[in-house]
Amino acid sequence: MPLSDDDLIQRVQDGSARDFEIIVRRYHKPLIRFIFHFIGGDKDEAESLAQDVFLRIYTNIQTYRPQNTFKAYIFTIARNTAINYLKKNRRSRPISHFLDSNSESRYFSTSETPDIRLQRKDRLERVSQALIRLSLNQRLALVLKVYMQYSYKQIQEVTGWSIPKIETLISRGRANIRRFIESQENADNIVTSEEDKK
Amino acid sequence: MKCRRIRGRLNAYVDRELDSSQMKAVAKHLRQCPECRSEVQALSQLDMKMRQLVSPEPSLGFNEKVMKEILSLQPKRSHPFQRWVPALTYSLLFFAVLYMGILWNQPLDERKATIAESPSWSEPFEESGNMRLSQLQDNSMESMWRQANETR
Repeated sequence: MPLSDDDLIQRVQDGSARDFEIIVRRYHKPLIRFIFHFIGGDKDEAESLAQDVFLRIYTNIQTYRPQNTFKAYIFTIARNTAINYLKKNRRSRPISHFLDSNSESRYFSTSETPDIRLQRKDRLERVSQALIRLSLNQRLALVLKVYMQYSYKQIQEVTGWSIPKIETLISRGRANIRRFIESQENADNIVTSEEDKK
Repeated sequence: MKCRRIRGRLNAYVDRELDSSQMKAVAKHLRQCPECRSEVQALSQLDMKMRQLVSPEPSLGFNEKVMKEILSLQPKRSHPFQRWVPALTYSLLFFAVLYMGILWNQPLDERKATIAESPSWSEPFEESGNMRLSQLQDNSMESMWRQANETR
């Protein structure tokens, strides 16, 4: 039977650094996924920040006391690390890296016709642009809900927010994304109909 | 339930965060209300669109890189005794304060008797022969030093 997180942490606290590797193996994928979607789709930065999270947890391991689950603890640290990164790299216009050229193979198969590929790319571009434009709180709530598939209770453990607040943030986040996508589609339609007139 | 109230809970319905009676009430409403039904559909489709932004696989060797960093840090092993040090210090401090408090509230004669009964307090003084506890009769520090110098 695999050791629980708290048992592993106890062992690391007693000096067995090697047992931390099991923690890293257990959490690196969801951690990178969470940071990747939260900071706007930059894989290299997501990995670098995930590494920082593990190092921060390890260096403070002696002061760790289980209050919620270790999973909630790890994602709370990840949330703080990612927010600090975003604040430090705040730009006048947020940039989405989801569709950078080196990530294209992840989204598009070679068997797709250029037209279908373009349509899909446009659609993904709109979603990614809408996501990166949300407020930090709305984005955090939505990333935890949609990409991590957390329940409202689990989101509460990571953020400390009340359940009604989480529901409101998720509902407003979705509404804003829909509004942004619709406005982009309308703008595209206007451009197309003007080109048709010519 | 009224349509407007239901609208406010459709996100929680899509996320399956309502309790079973609320889920049933919303489902019942959806059967009668095409507007709310299309709203639920739109919310579900939005989540599907968002999930098309797939997550990347971690780079090869990511775990090894993290562990290399971690193992290069100072060893974090703490002696089991180390964890007891703060507790022990606070306990000793507490008992010391308690002892002083008791001593302070006693009349002077009893206080001297209590000190005299304590071997750890009296012995070093008596062994040195420089100062005896009886000298504590006079509380003045000046006179104690004078007496101590006289006995040398």
